[in-house]
Amino acid sequence: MDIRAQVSSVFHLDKCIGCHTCSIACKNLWTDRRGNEYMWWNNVETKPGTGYPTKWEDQEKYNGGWERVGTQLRLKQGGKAATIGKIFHNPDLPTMDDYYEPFTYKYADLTNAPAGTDQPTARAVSMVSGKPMKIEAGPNWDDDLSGSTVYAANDPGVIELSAEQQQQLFTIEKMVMFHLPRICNHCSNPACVASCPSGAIYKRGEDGIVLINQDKCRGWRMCVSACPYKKTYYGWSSGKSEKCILCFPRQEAGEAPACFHACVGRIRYLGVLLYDADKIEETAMKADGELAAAQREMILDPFDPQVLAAARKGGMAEQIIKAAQKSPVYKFVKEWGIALPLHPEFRTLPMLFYVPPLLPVLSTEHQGTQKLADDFFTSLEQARLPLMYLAGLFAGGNEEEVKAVYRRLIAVRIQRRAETVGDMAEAEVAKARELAGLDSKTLDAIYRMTSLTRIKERIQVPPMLREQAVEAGMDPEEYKQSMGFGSRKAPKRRW
Amino acid sequence: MKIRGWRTNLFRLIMPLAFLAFLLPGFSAMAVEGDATIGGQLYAGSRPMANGGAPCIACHAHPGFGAAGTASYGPDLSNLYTDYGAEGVAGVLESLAFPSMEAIFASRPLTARERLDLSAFFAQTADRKTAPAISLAGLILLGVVSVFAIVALLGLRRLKGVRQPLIDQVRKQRGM
Repeated sequence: MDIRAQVSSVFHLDKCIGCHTCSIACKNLWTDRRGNEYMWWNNVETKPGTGYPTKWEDQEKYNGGWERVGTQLRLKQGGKAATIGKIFHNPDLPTMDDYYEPFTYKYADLTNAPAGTDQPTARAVSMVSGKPMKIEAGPNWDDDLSGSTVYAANDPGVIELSAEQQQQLFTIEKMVMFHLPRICNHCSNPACVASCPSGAIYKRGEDGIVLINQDKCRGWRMCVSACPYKKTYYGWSSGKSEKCILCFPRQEAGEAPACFHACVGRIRYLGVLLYDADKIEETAMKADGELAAAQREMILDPFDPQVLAAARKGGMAEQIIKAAQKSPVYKFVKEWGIALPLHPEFRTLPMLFYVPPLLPVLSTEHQGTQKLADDFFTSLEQARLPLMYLAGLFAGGNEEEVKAVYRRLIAVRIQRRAETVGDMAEAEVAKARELAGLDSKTLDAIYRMTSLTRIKERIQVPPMLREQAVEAGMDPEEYKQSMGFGSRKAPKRRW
Repeated sequence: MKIRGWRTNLFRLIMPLAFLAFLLPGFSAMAVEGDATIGGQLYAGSRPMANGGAPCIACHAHPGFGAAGTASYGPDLSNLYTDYGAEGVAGVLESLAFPSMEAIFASRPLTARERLDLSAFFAQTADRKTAPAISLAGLILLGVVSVFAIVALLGLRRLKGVRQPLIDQVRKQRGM
């Protein structure tokens, strides 16, 4: 066993209201520089929809992530030779149009326009060419199903569905959608790291945060195509690629990452997970449908004495172990089993988990008058948001995985309804518990964690122990003198 | 004793002469004709000139050495033998009285043997076709063009938009 710690997170999609506060918090903090206009380390998508960049999930087009070749795991975009072969013309990159052409408005015209008979207007201008432009796309252009005939209809997950299921999704007045906030998954098996010809990307040993060394990055952009989630971006001004850093400077100061901190719906949970790094390859080699379960298997119980002994032997600090024991993410993923990774079939073993949205499932044609636990579970198959679609998103197509999660989420609701409204028979509640496989105490704990917790409970930033991390590599005194504020050197061109 | 001594001396005198006479035809033939193979090696530089002169191929083109051997600093030597004949070639090789060659060969003259070998080589290769159609520069140009063509061909697949085709497809369906 090779036990590692990973700062991991859970996004509760039922609670996401799609307000984009997370995106703005991140943008203002990290990517408000020139050349980074189009960069959204955090973005919120509407599902069904094609997302940002357009159709990022379609790996037939973008060739991101890993694939199994015999008994080997291989980058889908090709190995070292292929990388060199296309180093000057990587064909798998999204175009500017697939992100969007960044734009601003000529606000000055509103006040400086010469007097005339017309109202002055602020025309849209491209931030690339500076010329007036027609805005045709944006990072959340298909927000709330706008343009669904183009964007929602072309969602790679929707295309997989049968005509009947698609009908079910898009019936007028019953149209269904949910929001999917996305940041870098800080994967255990990151394809971006494996693809980098300069060796600039690395996964921090002590907390698993994946970072791009700005001094070593040469801007080859192989990571942009290799990341199946399209979460590394090329900075056009700096000539370097950048990605979500999980706000490590904030975390090192004990603060929650900005998007977590700003989240209005309080959907974001953060905590340390312990996992067995020896099992990464074996896990990533599993069949599509087994990947979600295998990844859960890879995550270890922070109370298991065997695990703890191995962790201590590997030199893990006590504070990290303590943080792992308090981690809400561990509860969501492992104890309660209600959080699943996004697109596990890309085989990067993403360490960001999602509680799938329940809301559309409950709203059946009976208008909220369901009586029996049975009703809930039969309605699951006829849900407006087809299970197959959700299974395609969160479980590599394995509907049973998603069903198990929904049974638990529904059991929480039934138990709460019995308690607060009092119109549920005890037998129904017991049946729901039995189907969920969770006892009433656990269901209460899920309810508490999803609706009543404060920020310090939801977001357990571990002690980052930078002193120890520095000490492992060099003398801390020397580090302090030589590194000080970091080692950022200006590129020859400009920032 | 004396007579016998004389006879012996005569014998001693004749035997080497006879031996020389036996060798002479071959010797003289070599001396006159030179070895075309060695000449070729001298021409191409695979055998160094005794006095350190540069091989002809460094500046001249001559058929039979492929496109890489078609240097064009000096004149093409394809028709050297046809134009000058055996004596002309021998004369040229002896003096090498061209301004640019003098600088090189005045202090590093060709030896008599080398001149003969080279003459033999030029004589032997006189009927070869003139220098190849593709010069080195042309070959390099062709190489560069084909590399660019390959890159352009590979690049055809590059950066095909995803979003715009989706829009176009819907517009087409609606007949817009």
